[in-house]
Amino acid sequence: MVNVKLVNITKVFGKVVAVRNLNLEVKDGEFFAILGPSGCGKTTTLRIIAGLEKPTKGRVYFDGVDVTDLPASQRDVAMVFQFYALYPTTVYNNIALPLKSRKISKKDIEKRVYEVAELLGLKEKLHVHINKLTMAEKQKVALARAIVRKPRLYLLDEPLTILDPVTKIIMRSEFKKLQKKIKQTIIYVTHDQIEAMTLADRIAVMNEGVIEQVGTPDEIYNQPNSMFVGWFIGEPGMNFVEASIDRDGKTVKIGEQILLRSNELVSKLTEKGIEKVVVGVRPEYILLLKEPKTCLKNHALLKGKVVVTEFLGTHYIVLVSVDKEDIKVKIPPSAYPKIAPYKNQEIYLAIPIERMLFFDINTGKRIL
Amino acid sequence: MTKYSLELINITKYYKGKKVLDHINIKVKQGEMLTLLGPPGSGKTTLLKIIAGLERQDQGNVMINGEIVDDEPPYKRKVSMVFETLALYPHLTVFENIASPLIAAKKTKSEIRKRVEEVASLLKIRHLLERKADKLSGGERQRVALARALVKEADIYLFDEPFINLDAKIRTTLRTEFKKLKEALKKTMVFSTPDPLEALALSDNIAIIFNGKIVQYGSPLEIYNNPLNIGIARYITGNILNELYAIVEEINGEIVLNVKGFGQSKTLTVKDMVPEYVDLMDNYIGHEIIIANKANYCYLVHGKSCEGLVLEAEILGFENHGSEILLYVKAGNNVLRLFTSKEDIKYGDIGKKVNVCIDIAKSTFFDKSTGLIIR
Amino acid sequence: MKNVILLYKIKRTLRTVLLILIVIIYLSPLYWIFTTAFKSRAEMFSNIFTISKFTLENFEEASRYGAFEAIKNSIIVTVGGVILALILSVFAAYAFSRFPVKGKNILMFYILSTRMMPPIALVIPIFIMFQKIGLKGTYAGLILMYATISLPFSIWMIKSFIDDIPRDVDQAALLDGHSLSYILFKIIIPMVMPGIIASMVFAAITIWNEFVFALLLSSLDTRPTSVLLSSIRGERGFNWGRIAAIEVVYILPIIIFVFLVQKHLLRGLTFGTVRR
Repeated sequence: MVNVKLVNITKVFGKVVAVRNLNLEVKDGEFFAILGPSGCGKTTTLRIIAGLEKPTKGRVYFDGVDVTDLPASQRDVAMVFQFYALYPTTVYNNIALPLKSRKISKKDIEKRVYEVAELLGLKEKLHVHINKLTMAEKQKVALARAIVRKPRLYLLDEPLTILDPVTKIIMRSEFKKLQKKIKQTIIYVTHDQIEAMTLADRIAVMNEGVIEQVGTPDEIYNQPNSMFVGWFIGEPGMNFVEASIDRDGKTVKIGEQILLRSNELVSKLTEKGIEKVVVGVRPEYILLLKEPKTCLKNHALLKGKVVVTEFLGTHYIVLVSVDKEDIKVKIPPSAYPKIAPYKNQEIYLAIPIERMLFFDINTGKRIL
Repeated sequence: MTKYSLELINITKYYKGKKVLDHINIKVKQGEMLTLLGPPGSGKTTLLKIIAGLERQDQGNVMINGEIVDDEPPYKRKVSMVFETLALYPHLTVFENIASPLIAAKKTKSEIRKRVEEVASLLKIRHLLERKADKLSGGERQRVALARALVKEADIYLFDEPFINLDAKIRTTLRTEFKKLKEALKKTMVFSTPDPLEALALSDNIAIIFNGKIVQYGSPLEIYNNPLNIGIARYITGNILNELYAIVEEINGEIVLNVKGFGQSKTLTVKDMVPEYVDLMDNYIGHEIIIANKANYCYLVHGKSCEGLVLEAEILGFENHGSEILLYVKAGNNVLRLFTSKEDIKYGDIGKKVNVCIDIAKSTFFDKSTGLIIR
Repeated sequence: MKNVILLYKIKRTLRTVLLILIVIIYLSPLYWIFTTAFKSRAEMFSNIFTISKFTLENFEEASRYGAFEAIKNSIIVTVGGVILALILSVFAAYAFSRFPVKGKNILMFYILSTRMMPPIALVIPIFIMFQKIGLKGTYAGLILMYATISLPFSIWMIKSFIDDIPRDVDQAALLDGHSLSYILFKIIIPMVMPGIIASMVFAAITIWNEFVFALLLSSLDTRPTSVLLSSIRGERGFNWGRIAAIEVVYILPIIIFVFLVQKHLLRGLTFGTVRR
């Protein structure tokens, strides 16, 4: 178990700044995910923690000790990669190898290997050559090889990306169960938000070399600190619409349509002296209506035109244009025939006020 | 004016003795978008290249706008294509890449500039025109490839898995944008993808290709609701299909489905659950069938009543999809998936016993021995 | 933990010192040549590492001996050989890569096999052939010979670079409406430039240093520097100063050339390892 702290880490490759002034703390025994699109710097960050990459600036601390100059082999860290990287031999030998170079007695090695194999359900396959294993089993061997060393930190770099959906789900549960049993700090890098949201205690969302937000899955989903986080998390991501604030009329408008009127939120925004703001709301919270229903309390009503609809099996996504802004609405299959949207159809959107979030138009950071 | 922009008649192609395409017959109307949906290696790319004239079929004909074009070289066919690998020219700028078809057509400099800027604006890459093509991100390269295809005046536009190499997030964003573009352009398009969701979202019609053969053709809704066999059902729903086996029996004059795999007997009366199937099921007495149920028609029962089949299950794991949870449970010998809300589940719940309700009325039935749909 | 870091730093310093020693050992012959070339006869064996009197007399002697004509000849046959090899190998590589040539594999292996034979085995037939055709002693003869021996490596190298370009790029260009020559010259060649430069450099180095065929096929007027150097044994032993001077003039052009193209060379050699 270890507490990992990164202080002002910057990493430059030639002219490219891969990681910029990054500060991060992973608590003891935490399952921590670093989530972000390709090229955001998450793998580089992981490699800096592992010691495979030296930061251009900044320090790395394990339990308060500066390990920045320590090479990877000395950090007592185990890493599991996307492509298992196994040796062409039996499962047993693969798992035993990290121990062999440490001068442990043969009997002890055997004991530890059996322990770990039991933990991961590999006991029956111990003497099988890795060529005869399925992808999931191979990944389990890679995992076993990491666990058997009893490191104080596990680093996983998208280990499940190559597996099929059903195996992925089972492996995810295994990870979580494992973590509870071995109580180690795990740092998990992925671009799959479902994976991060399912497994992690806390997530750091990265984009273009910086951390946009750190929080629990719920916090990240319901209270994104920036437009990027709002957009990246959720499928489809959050809608963003430009709105203007009319201090005299005490309203927030999208184009000519009034979104909010004489509301606590309007006052707060006016107080901050803001004239233009970005409103964010998730597609699944918006209601699609054929006729305007003014009786809906605590909802803002907007009029728009249907642009396109996408059928995705378990739901539909309807793209509605409101005053030149595009808003996506997610509706279940049962709701679709009642509205039967067609191109350029006049349609109404009911947006619950409590689900609206407000972002700064210049920085993209959340205001309310 | 022929009705069909593109017609493929009995297209067959061999590669090293094996049939890569087997008697493909397709008709695409003017302005329609057809998607070729199939797993990797099913022959989609080969078919698109045959349409473009980059490869030659061994048997059959390709007709564009009513004329047989088998002997026409690629350029003469008025076809434009986006390749799976994008095939951009890395040493040229974005402008030069997009302008390539116009340069080959020997258009004037001013004409080229106008057209390229037009298309670049449409695809929101105007600011990238002077950049070298090898210095772009994945999403930007995709747009350049699209721009190059669209700048060319063609009768048919082909797209070979154009979003395949992108991050999931960018893929879904581009998908919606592409649909907008498609609606605005109204050109005849053939799109290929291995992703069923992409096919469902974008197309007017889908042709599902397995191993070089078309196994089903229809609109997205048609295929989704009435897949011709269980293999197609699994593929098109993308891993949210629950399958239960049952034997059709006649008990006291009533047709029932005896659901297997639970130790105890669980029967459903056809007349109560799915009355429209009573006559059909009559033909299947004694046969084993598959009850296929989609995860969004499967619920956790909180003591309330269930208008379907109730099963005892144990929670295996789940996926946090943000707005909802996809729950995996084990019921008898089966692994079932269902959607539920976030409030219902926590990590500590793994291993917990729950009751699951399957909405039989929203299920599809298949003959287990043939795999074919019952309807 | 702190001890481990210290130990690691010590190991690293020792490694660096060792590396510096190795570099010094490697470079010392070159250093000797350069200092000797600028030393007068008197100093030749007295001061090994330094020059007290800087003199150009060795270069004057070398030019009287014919060194600058020899360098000129070296340059002519190298440039000629490389250019001819380049033109031929680019076309051949493109054909082999993109077109269904009958017996392609056999042909490629045959081409490669010509380099597996020791040149000395060919001297007699080549000599007789060239003499009969009247190419012996001419620049053309040497250039032709050198292009021939450079072809195998060049074709293989450039072909593998072209192979790395997906066929889709050719097809996209075809679909755009471009002609085959446009595709070859405006698209394929620019894309494989690192490979072309790499093979050019290897060809240049090989030809520049080549001795056997130079000796065989050149005349007194056309002999390159390698042949000149071989004739340098005098009656009273070796005139080291003159030798060193000729070698300095011999080494410099090729070093400058490789220095200028090294950026492209590195790209060419490591091309296939780009992370996607």
